[in-house]
Amino acid sequence: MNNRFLLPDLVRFILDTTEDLDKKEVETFVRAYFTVIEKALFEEDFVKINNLGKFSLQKVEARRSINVNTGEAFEIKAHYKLTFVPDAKLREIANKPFEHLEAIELENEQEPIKKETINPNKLTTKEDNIMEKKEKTVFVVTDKPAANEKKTAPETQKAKKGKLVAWIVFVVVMCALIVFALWKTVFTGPEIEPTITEEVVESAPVAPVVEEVTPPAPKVVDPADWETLKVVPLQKGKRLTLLALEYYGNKVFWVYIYEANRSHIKNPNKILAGTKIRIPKPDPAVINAKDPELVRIAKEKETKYRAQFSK
Amino acid sequence: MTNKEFIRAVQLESKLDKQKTVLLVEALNASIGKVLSEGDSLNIWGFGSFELKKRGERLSVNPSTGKRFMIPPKLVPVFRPGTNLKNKIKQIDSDEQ
Repeated sequence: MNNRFLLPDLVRFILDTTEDLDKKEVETFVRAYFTVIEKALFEEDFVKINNLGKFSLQKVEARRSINVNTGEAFEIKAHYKLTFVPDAKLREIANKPFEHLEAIELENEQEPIKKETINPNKLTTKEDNIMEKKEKTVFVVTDKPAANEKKTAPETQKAKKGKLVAWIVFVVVMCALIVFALWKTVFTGPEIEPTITEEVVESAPVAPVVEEVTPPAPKVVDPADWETLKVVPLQKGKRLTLLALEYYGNKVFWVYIYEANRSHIKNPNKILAGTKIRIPKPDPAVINAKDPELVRIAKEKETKYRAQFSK
Repeated sequence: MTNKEFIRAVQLESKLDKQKTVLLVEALNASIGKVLSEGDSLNIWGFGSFELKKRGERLSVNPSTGKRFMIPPKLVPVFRPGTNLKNKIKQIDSDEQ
């Protein structure tokens, strides 16, 4: 390893490979070999040698540069450089020590982080935040060696994956236990402690439940079921948006008029004049020009329909 | 210059017979391969040196499928032209300009 051989060594190697060779002959041959490459480089476009590679001269265009010491700009003149592209066979031989390695597919690294958020013993304290950070660092550390292991032995990848998951679960549980222990030490009174944890546990799930209930509500809305406020024949030149502005106070609510009349309007952009439009009675929980949130929901619907009908 | 032309040129230069030249070219190429495969380098004075370079492992993403791959490290043979040859190559530039 890491020996630097010279021309005489090369001659020796060649003599080793084949019998009945004259040392002087081989020496002159080796010299001829390299002088021919050198000569040919200047006379021809390239020199290709089977099982070794291809030598060629490549032109490097002139470019501007700056003298690092003086800061002066100067031009690097166009020049040639020698490139050597090794033959596939030589590449293969040179890469022998790493031959067994293969490219491996990686799964998403986000998975372990998701598991962390599911952590049931999650408490909203500063200690917990610190612990979370620690957990993350632990993940990073456990991930890397696992990746290396996979690389060296791709066949046992599945077994390793199982092990990795087991490790992650183990680490999460351990961290949770440590957090819990710290929590206990902070609150010395043993009787107060359970009530507090209960409160935290109870209050934690409440918030997401409320969040989950509110957003789907407007989605369920079907203006087709609403009471009719008025039925108007669409006049020439009028559009649903103008009706919405007239009856609901904002153009974006046209989507609800459209939804109420979906049964006989195929494309809201092309409605025949005289078509009877049923204007539903506005539900203040859905249609209120003064509520920016409701306007936003209507706008979302609008963009959805726009995309649908612009095709 | 193709391999055939190269062998012919070497034969003329070294004044050996064709059969022997073919044999020796093969032996020389094999020797370079052997030197490199053992992690050594070969330095031909005035010409340049054949060395090994390690390309580190890297992550690669298939842009169409989004799959991520870990490309293993590999050893690549490189040729570094010697000072003599380098200077000669530089010389041609100034001649042409």
